[in-house]
Amino acid sequence: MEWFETWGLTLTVFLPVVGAVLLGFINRDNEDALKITALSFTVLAFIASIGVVVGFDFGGGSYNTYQFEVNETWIGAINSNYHVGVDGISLPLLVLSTFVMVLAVIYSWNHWEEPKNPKAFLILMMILATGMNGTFVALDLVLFFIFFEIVLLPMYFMIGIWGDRAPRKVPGFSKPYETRLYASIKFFLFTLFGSAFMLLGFLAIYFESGSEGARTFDIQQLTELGASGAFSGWELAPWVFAAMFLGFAVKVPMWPLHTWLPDAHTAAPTVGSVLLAAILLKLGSYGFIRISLPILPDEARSWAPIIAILAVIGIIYGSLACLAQSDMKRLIAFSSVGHMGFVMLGIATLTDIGINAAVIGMVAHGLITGLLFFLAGSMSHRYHTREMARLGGNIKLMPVMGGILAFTAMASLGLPGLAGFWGEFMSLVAAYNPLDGLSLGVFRTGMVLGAIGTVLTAGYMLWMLQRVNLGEPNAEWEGHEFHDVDRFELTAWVPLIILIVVIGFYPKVIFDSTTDAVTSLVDMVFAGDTTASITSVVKGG
Amino acid sequence: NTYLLDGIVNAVGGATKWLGGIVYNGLDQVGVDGVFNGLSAVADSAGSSLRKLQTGRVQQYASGFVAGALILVVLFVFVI
Repeated sequence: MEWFETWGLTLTVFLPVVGAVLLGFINRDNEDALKITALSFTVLAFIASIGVVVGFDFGGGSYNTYQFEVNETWIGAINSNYHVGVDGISLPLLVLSTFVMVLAVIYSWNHWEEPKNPKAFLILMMILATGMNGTFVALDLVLFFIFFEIVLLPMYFMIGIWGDRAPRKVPGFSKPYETRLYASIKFFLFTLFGSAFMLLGFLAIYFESGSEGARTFDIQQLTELGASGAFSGWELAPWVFAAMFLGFAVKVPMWPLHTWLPDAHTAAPTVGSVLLAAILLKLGSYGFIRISLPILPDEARSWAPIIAILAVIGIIYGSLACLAQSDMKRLIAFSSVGHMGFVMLGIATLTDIGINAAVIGMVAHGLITGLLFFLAGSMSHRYHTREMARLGGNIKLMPVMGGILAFTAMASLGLPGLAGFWGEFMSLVAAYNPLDGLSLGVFRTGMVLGAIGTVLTAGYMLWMLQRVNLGEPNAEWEGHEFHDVDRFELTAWVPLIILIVVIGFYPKVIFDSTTDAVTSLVDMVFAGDTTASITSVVKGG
Repeated sequence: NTYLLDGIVNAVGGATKWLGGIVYNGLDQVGVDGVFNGLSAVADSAGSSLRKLQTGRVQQYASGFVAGALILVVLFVFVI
């Protein structure tokens, strides 16, 4: 299987886009052929990623060593290469991405939102898949940026074309806009605004990385430079970190850059919301771990308390905002602000426990919130409303759907034994003891507030269950026949449920992959404390 | 005693819900989101105001050129 060592990741990344090209040649009325082609290529990409897992050496090796690595010259003039590879941190996220994509195609089988057009929708999904998979394996800043941006367009069109058509009054504008237009443009502008600065940051790093001819975009080389203190004392470094922070923080999203999220999630078609929540948000938090921390460790230290404070504000603020929601989908959207707050709090501690917590938190949030959006989509498909006041007694009308909703809400509130628990719990543990030198006051206060956040999370999730699932069905549904969960929905959801339980009981499946990489990352980048400051003195003086 | 504890629990619950309403309806929708919507409204109105400058009348453009040239002359001769 030697060829797979070289081709494994390339196949995982590009099989979906090959599928997109083939879909282009199929007649748009031939829905079955379209769906089967899309499914085959997402399944193939998933199999390729499983092949990578099988061939992956979990024995570790130190941070900044990658497996299934390919490094070919791409744009020689700027020394940018097609450099891809995985380590224990990106592997779980890559598999999450290929896996959720398969489920999304299965779910779409008989759930087409207006104006239908399965051909266009599937093509966009395939392009999205390539962008998402690519971001998790890219080891070159230009390549990373391109994959990061590829994701934008398909999602923009998904929201803008298949999204919610209800009119929406926007303050400051005289005429109302369709929600889908407002939300899609807001999503696009926010993300583009952030990534424009991120690109500037990448360019600054490139020019600082060496003299002319020796400059590089290579994340592996830049990590080495960063860890050895080459960027210490660089007067632009705080600005560069801030620029990249903007790009990643919009994507996560961190407070106060989160306001695109509730609108985009609520307006998006079901599959769009699922992919947005399950994977797109992780591109931001992954960027912090892969790029910001290792390349600019000194700035990461000085920014860590700020990131922690914003993360904790996100936890409390997101949870409080959830308590004020009447729209079920919007509630789930706001819950992401809180959950990603825990992920960012973990990253901000700059410790192995915290970053482990962040990765497992990302995977768990992808599975759980993905499933919640599937459920919200299927329910609004049947009730034609997302207003929780009009739902109620759902478990009597649709026992299976109601049961799965109850299970997923429990998982989301961080019930021990289900996947959501580990990320939150460990991120709080890490906040008690952040990296040496970080303000204990900030992080321990964050820990207490984060713990209060888990109570609020339980509060709004249980209240949602009470309003949606329990009680007597609303009188308006009398005489309605509701189809409980159909087989496509079950096929898409059962694997998620199984994984939520498996990771909940046996988080080792994720930690076995992440722990070595994370520990050696922290050792390499943040333990070489003294040498880094000596270098900065030498370079600065 | 039971009544007192229940009362406290209910009050905390009610207060949290009330706070949620303040945070979402006030702080988030009007405050944070308002800033971003405001920015887009500014861009929108700036666009429509500037559009009025584009009248297509050549005389108006030409007088603009002349005025600009005069300002430059004044600047170069008297200021620098």
